[in-house]
Amino acid sequence: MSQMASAPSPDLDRFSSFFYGAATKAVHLARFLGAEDPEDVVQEAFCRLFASRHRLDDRDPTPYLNRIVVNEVRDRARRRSTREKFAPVLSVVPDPPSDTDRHDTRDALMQAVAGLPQRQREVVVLRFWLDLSLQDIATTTGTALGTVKSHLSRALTALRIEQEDLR
Amino acid sequence: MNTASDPRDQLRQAFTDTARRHPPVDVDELWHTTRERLDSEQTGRTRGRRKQTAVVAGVAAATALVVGVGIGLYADRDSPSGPATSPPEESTSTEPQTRTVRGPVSGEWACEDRIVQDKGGKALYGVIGPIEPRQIPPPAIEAGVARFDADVEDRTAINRFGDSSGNLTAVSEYRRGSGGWILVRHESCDLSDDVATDTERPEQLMVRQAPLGNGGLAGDDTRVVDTRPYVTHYGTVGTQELEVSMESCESPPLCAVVVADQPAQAVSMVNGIDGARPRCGRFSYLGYRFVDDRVCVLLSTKPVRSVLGLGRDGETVEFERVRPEGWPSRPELWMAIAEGPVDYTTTTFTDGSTL
Repeated sequence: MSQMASAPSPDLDRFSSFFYGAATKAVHLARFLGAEDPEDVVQEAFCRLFASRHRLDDRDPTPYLNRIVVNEVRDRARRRSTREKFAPVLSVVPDPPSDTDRHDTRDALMQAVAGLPQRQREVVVLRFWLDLSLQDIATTTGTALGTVKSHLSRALTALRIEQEDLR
Repeated sequence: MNTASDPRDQLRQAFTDTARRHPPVDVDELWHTTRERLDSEQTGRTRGRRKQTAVVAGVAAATALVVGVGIGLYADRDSPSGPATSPPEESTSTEPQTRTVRGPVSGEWACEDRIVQDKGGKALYGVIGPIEPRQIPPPAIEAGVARFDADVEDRTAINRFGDSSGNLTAVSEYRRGSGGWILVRHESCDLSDDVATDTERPEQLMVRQAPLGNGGLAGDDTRVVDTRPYVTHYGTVGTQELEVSMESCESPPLCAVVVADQPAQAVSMVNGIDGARPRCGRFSYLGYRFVDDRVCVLLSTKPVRSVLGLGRDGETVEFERVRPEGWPSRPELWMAIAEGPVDYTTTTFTDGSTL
């Protein structure tokens, strides 16, 4: 995003450069967060980012993009939930990951992540997909650092993954 | 995939592998569609074409039908009105008796006997949401009212209707309320003694609970004519004809659509009933269809920020605004599907007030 960030008044070409560098990861981020239409989420996110580009000054817009994606997925999930109340609720109970088959382990992990509550899922995805620090996760999700730690702790417990040092 | 043994590394690797397993993102196509969106925003068109489509498509079937009815009610009626300074499309009709033209209406009444509705400045029908006093009311066009003139100020408006000679046949006086224009006085040539003596008119305008379900329509469409007369805001008298259509429903099979033949009446009835209070349950109002107790709908002529409901089991029900293509800006349509009956709701308006 340095292309865009370095420009005092980013034009569409610079925005395009940033788009091409960040879109794929953003689509996966939206998908991992549970978006039904991750590409649409990313379109929306980039449109909002473009509309707000002047407020970014020279800052790296990636965190802002991530935050928009997180919020957009969250909003859509909330809206979706009101429409799908009639649908049977499928609760995912993760099985403990097996070391005997890596693919099984991977699928089980992803299934377990998908079954986490949305806030815990966000923290896990941001932590392990984007490799964000806990402070950056707090900024991206708009929550307090302590809340992030709490969500991550609960998520890792649910995933039966050994706790990392959250201090 | 590597052989990471640390569970956290496995999780990282799982994300990476899963991302690789998905079809590659067509960034060119994504950029193309994003550019289209950006262009449409810059040219002032509606943002998020795909998003809007998804919302429309995703709304429950019940709402889709309600919306369809609503669009039919509002869009069809509103479209001919046009801007205040332009003649309506109907003015090009070859039938002069159906034309309504903007022009001076003299102070002389075309009749000696007139009906006067006046509650000392209070609303006669409640907020009439989509009415814009500067525009010729489409029902007036359909009714063949020949002349129309408007005197609109910030808080008040006076519409004058006249015959082809320019003599007055009706005058409507409005006051701008917080949610839209309110008809506060109406004077018109005597078209019906029944109307003149009818003091219960606003209540009578309500659409009663539709005869649904057991002992009801048994799946057949029917038409119900409410013969009680009413005065429209433009000064003609009509009866309320209701069309009740049975539609196939997902569950349970108790739904219907009630369509009135007068959109202005529809809105005034709706507002007379709900006042931005959500309705949940197995009944039907004009333009609404309620599948069962879990379906809640709210119409509001006043801008709404959020609507929250509380179910009997403690469930928090969050309404969402639904605005399909063609739906007017007012009244706002909000909807929620709860897990059970919703007893309490709080509507927060954009001005901070609550109901």
